[in-house]
Amino acid sequence: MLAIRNLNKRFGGLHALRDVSIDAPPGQITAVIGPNGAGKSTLMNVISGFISPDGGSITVAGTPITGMKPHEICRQGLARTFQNLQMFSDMTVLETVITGRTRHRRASLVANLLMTPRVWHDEKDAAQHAQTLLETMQIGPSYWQRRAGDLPYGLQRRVEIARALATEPAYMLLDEPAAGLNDEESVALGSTLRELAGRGIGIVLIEHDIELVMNFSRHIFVMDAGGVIADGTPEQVRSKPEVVKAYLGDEHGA
Amino acid sequence: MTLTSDRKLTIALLVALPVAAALTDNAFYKAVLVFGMINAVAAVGLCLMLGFAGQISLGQAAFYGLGAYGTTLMASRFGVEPVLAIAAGALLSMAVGWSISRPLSRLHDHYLAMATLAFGIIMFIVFANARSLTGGLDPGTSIAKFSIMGRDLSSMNQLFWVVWVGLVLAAFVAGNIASNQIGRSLLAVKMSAAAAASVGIDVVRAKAFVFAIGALLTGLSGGLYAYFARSFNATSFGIGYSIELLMMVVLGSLSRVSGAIVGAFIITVLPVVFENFEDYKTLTFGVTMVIIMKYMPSGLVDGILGLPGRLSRRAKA
Repeated sequence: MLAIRNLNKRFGGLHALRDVSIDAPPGQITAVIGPNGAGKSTLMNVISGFISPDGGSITVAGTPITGMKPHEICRQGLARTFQNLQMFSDMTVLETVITGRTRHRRASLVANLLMTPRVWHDEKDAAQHAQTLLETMQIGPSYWQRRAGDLPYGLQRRVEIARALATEPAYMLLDEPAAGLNDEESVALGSTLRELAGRGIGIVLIEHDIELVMNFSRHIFVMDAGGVIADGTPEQVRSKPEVVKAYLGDEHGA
Repeated sequence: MTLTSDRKLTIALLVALPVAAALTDNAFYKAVLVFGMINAVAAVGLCLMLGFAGQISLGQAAFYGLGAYGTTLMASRFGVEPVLAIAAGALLSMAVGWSISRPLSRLHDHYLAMATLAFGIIMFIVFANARSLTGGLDPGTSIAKFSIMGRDLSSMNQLFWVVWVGLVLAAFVAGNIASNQIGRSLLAVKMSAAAAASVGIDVVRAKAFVFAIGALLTGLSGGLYAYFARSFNATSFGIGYSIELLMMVVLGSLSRVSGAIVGAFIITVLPVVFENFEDYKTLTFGVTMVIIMKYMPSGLVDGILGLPGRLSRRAKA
């Protein structure tokens, strides 16, 4: 379980997160939705260690990760993607995904500097593993040697997910993975995510694409003005008046 | 440019050097070759820092000086075997590089450039004024002839091979880094520190590593320089040399080890070639630099390797 308890964060006078508590079980897609400025991205950055919270706790499978640095959090089995793509643009697609394997490499620094046979072997393994992940994300071999930054936007999003997968995470935070995708791509992404959840990965999906969220997530948390205002299954959330109000404004909700 | 290991090109260059040395009997040209290789060792170090990890340093001359003075002190004061003295100088430089990396690790781009520039200036002042250790600007310091186990190897021909071995070692280590996960981690830190951290790369540690290895190689270069020059003073370790190193790396190629070697030779050799132009020497040098950067912005090596492709595209069009 990825358990978030009473998370608080203030930026000066802005209460960006107020007592946010979210549970994301393994093997499921848990969605966090909410209008712009609801605090979703702040939540994302706090969980992954890029921003430290003022209060509250985060645990991954019982291990507290609050206050850890981003790379330490990754090593606890929590990977993420970024809302504004953070690609290793000048690397090839394959190299980008291999880089995701960094935390699983065991060869010593000296072995690496001398490039011992063990390191060559590791390199081959990492490349093979990366190719499998690229296939999972439906990125064909014709793209593998292309410069990552030159790929179409939708594919870059998939490469980012493949890179996150390469860390072999127990949980993945996906920050608006469907942004900029067309309907068809978005549905394809949804089924890929469902497949990944089927492998036991707990996926936290922060998303604007309501169709994607409603069709593919098991449990939805709705945020507004820094707090969680509702949660439940897609059907439950859809019918809650406070959700409709947060999304459509008072007149429509009334 | 991606992280293609350009081993073949690097090996070709390393093989070409002894061939070039064998073709000339002229002692001056041979000395230029040796000095070019010394510069290449330092340039390979900066190539890892700037080209791979995106960490600009305008203070490399300080590491060069630490290597040179460290070597000289070990050899002259403690009578240490020359090879070990060079190693000690390089390690001293590495220790300093590693220790300044932490306070510098929060700085980027021009802030980092300013900070390393300041470090270079401070170290120059130290070199110039710590006269009991360095001999300052005048009289400077001097070191005994290079030898291994008492066997004198100080002729230019012998020194050529000593420095060549140093360059081969530097290129070997840097080439390895370029083709394994260390190089990818450095590149990842350069292209997106956030994404690098998100896949488990310790960004601060990666920067400390690259500062250490960059300082180690530049320090090694300084130690070799000490035995090459035999007698030198602090002027060799001023800002001018830091800028020259930067030019070598940018000119050759930011993403290739071979580029650093090519760049080092251009910056070493061109002024010698342009010596014939007398008054116009500096002007010609400057214009050549501008032309190369204008038409080959990613460096001479990538520019030339990309030339066939560019020409065939033009022919089709």
